[in-house]
Amino acid sequence: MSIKQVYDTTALLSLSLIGKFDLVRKQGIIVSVPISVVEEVVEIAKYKDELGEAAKGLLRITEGAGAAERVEIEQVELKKEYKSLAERIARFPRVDRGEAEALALAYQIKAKELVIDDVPAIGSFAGLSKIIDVETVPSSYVLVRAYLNDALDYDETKMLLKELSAKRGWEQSVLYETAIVMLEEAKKVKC
Amino acid sequence: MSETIGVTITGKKIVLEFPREEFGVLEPREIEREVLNDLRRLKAVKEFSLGKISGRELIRLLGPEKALSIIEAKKITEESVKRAINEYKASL
Repeated sequence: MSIKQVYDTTALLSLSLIGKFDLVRKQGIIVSVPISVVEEVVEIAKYKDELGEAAKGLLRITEGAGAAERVEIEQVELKKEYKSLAERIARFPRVDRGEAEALALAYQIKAKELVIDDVPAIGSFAGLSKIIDVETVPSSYVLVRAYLNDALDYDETKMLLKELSAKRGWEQSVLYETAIVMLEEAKKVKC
Repeated sequence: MSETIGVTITGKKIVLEFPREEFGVLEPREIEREVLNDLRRLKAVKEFSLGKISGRELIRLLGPEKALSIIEAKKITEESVKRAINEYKASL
């Protein structure tokens, strides 16, 4: 069964950092992003550091790769009323334009989930996402879900979560360390 | 103390970020302090994720603003994975 997810830049880059963005295709996930997120990824791809490489990898797999490897990302323009909502969300503390537009887009297209790895923004979205009925989830959830769907095995999932915890900063590590704990729950259910 | 120094500690690298004009005038002790602070924060977040320290303790260690975001991030991670597990069970 396919599900609709909206991604913000941090979550796209997390999956690309570990070379696993193709997991979305393997799980039948329809990925949508607002235009501002595409602009952020293009901007980050100009840098020669690890995140810059992840952004380049993401652009390759979504634009340049052959049909077999390509992962489609829907770039969606916000309608006027949702653009205005995004502008108001962007005034929240610790929320940037890309994150605000991603949440507004999730609301606009009635996406099941907003995938976001920005911890300060997650904190700021806590109340609003419930009101507009959008589940906020981290990229680590996508990995554990892939394990439950047999797209990854247990060892690989754990290794990827540890890799993300090591590659991202101290604040974001909560998303991956918690998922490692929850992966054990998933393993018990699967075995 | 520089207000603009940023430290990111990952498994492989310690990345320091500060304005170019501050290069050469930053005290090594200041850098050391920032790195140690970041390591302490990393340890606190890891222990909180593993349930070894409480939210209250995290607030004491990181301050309310940072800690509350991290508490919420842990909550949404747990809830989302629980939902995925329940969906998996329902599909059996």
